[in-house]
Amino acid sequence: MREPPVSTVTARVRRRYRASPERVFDSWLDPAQVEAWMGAAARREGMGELVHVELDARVGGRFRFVYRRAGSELVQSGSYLELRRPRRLVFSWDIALPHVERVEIEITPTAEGCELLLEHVMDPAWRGDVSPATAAWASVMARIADALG
Amino acid sequence: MLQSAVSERRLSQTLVALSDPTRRAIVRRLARGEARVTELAAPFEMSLNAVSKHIRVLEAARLVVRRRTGREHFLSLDIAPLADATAWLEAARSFWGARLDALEDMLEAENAAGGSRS
Repeated sequence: MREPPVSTVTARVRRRYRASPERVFDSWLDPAQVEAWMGAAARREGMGELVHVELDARVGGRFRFVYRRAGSELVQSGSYLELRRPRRLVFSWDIALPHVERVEIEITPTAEGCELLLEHVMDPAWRGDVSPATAAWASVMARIADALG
Repeated sequence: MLQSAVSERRLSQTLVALSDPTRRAIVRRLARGEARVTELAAPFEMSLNAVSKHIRVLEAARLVVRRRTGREHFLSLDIAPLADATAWLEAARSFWGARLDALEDMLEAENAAGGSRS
């Protein structure tokens, strides 16, 4: 039997905003704004405090978000793969795991502002050598909390 | 390493099995309960043989289990292989959903303050 092709899993989330595509696009790359909204979500989830945001907004540039809770730190990092203001933003996403995931953002203008479609793509082929892909997948997001708790 | 390769292959098989609309329809039907091959094939405009091939892919991915009683074959669903993929999907959706909502809160607060151009 032929080897099956590698398949991906994609999580899609869509939101409409009363803001221009440019404004929404820039909110992903301005450290102060990232800290404000990503930090607010993290606090609400009990993930801890987003204490440091650094990013190099160009293709190949890296970003690093540092969270702190109960004396321990968690780092989210990745690198920018595509930056096409204001339509499309793609970055890799690592969470203290050896394998790499990818996040793709498409911003489309609407009458009121814009619509944002976020796709978080996961591919077994991107798995690192340390942990089994399945275990990694199941725990990727849980680890955000677990590493801190 | 071996364990890891096996897990990866299994998950990949699960995903490939579910990438086809006919197979997803079979899975949806089996979610309502056990069925014979002929019952599964009835809604589709394809040969029994073609449907059987789809069922074999689902069996290889361990999503479908076959039980034989005399000459009759009954098929049922086993959702265990879906657990990893669905757990990740739900976690990712909830993670980004919360962040995109927080982004909206920030943009709306700016709109209300009139500080930023829209």
